[in-house]
Amino acid sequence: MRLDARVVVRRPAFTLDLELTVQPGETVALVGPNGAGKSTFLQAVAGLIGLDDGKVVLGPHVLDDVADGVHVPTELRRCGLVFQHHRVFPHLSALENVAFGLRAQGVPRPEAHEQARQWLDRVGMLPHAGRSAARLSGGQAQAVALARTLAAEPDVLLLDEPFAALDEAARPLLQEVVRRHAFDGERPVVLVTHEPADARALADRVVPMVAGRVAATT
Amino acid sequence: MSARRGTTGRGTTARARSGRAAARAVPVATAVGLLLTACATGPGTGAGTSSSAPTGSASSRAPLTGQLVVFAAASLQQTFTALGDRLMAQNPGLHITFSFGASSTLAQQLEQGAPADVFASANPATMKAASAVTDRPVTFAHNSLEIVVPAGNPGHVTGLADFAKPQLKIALCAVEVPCGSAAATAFAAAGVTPAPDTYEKDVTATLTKAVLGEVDAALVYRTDVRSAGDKVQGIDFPQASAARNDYPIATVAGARNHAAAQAFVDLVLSAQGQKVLTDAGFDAA
Amino acid sequence: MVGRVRPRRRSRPPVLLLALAAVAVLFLVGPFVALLVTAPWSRLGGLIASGPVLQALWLSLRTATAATVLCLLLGVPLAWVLARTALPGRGLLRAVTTMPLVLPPVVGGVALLTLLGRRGLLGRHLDTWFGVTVPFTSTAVVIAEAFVALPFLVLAVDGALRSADEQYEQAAATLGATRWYTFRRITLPLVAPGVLAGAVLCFARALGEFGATITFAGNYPGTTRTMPLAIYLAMEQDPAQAVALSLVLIGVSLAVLIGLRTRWLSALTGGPS
Repeated sequence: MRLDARVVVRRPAFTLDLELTVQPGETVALVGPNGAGKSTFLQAVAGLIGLDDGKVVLGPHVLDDVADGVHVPTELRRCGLVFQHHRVFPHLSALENVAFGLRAQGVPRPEAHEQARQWLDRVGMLPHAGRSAARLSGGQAQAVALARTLAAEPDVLLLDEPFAALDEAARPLLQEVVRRHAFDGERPVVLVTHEPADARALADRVVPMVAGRVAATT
Repeated sequence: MSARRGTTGRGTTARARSGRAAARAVPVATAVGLLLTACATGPGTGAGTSSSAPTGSASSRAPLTGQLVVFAAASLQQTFTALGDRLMAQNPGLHITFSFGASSTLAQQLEQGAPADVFASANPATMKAASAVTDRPVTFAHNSLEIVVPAGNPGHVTGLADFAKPQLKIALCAVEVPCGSAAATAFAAAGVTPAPDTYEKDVTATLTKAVLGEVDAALVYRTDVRSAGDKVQGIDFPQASAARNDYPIATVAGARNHAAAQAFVDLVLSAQGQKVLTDAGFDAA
Repeated sequence: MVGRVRPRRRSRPPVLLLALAAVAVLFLVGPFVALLVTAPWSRLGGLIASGPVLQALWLSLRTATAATVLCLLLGVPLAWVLARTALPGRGLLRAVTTMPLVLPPVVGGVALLTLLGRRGLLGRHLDTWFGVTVPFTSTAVVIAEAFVALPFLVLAVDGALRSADEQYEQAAATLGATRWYTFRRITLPLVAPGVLAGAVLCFARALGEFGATITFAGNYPGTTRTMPLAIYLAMEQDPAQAVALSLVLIGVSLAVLIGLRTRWLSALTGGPS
């Protein structure tokens, strides 16, 4: 699937106006300082923020079209978003977190838990499956969050500074997890980061951003 | 059996509306009393009282002046206000202040030194409770129970016997309150065992159930039926006299305005006063 | 966390705040102490064990529990609508919600009568179509109690929802969860402490309800005479007995609330921090 997005969001402090196309299997990194509008772009694509203008198309589906008054709610967009601060559900176990998306889509519990266990295994968290998510370390929680998003089988993967909250030791491990499991060759991936090194290591293409727009290309 | 507390009449609304109202009445009445005391001791007021009292004690010819404070049972609100207006019209120098409330509350306030000139109670028991601070009481009216039904009498009620029918909705005063004990006396006299759906907390609440049509019949005082107007109908029954309520009135011992106090009591007992009371549904003394 | 040892060099709390807090405690405890002092302790046992008292107490506990369940069923969704939707006129709705708090309960009872009474707007149809009359039944007690107690629950849950971050609900949405599923699995568990606090307030209010109950439901032993009604009537004849009954009500409600609290809290510990 291909992601075609032109996102315009007006805020008092700045206006985000970004046009981005991501091919199936391609990973694009949005790089820029804080306040450049990178996270806002991801949240707009995920439907958490309404557009002031523009259009978001994912494969055959029009998710947003301001001109036509189209806005598909987040839960129907199949846009997986891994948040900067993981947002694992604190009252659920690691396993229940990962199984959440499947359960929400009607997958019976045993099957959902089996798949969740496989995902936890891939991100190296199977030993902690039964642990309350509130008691995981930052790195562990981010790994669970990634597994949780991937388990829901989204059509596009949006990663919002997934390594920012991690300490140096946990970072390479999770980058390896992303590299091995997030890219499946069909899904477009948008990675937001302020670390050029991360961007170069993981992305096929780097888009620098400043103040809501694409920075002048070098 | 005499009623302990004068909770008859619509004047009890305030008390019925909230359990706290009775408690609140005490400081309010005291505050009013203090205010009046302050007025009386001020220059140029209340002078007529002391000069006229020794000379013309029986004569009501001399114009009355000053302040008169009347404590009266809530059920007397309409009638006493009317009589007070009449007395003030005859004596332009006279100003009457009423404090209506539950008889028992008023009696307690009198005992605590509330500055009243006249006390009218809804039953002899509370008058007796205040006997230390009042002059000799006189019975000036009676109130009888009456069956009250919603307008049109949907339950086809004809007498006390209908109160035993389980298919009818019936409201009675709780036996703990005066109208309830009076009702119990009446049922005993009639040999009827009532089957009520609710025991209301006072006569006003009981009447309200009939006014709203929530019950087919209730037992309240005749004055309550009168005051409710055409939303309800009253039905007399022969045993009503068995549970009649006596209303005593007395001047307060050491009343500041004794002449006016006596004049008010005289007016209540006069043919004119009795007419006002019987028009409201009371039985003449 | 509660009970953690504070650093020793922490500055002392302001004297003024402590003094006012002490006055507040006296203000709350004073009347209660007076009640305890004047209580007829020698008769207390006999009063509590008497049939009519137990009957009223049992009715009170049953109806207050039912009213709390009813409030939870209706109040939590209302709080969610207030806190989580962009419904127009939400401010007005919030004001309407608090109306029973302002209204004297007796007026609330009259309002319920004019709606659900035998001749009420709705009640007259219930009577003619189904032969159902609501007043003078235990159902009416539950309705009256729920009417006055509902705002306590709605306000508590609304507050909890509004202070709870929506980030988890957003995360659930990106995982494909419908709002209903998210509400059940994410929102409700996360605001559980707020719901519990609201339910406790709601139960306490329902247990002490007097004005709306006696006006709307009436007063009949075993059917509609709850403890507060029994206490009011006792006050007419024997104030000492009324004091004793009040102590019973206070004691039982404290026992129930403390019992619930420990149950719930132990269920909640180990959950979200």
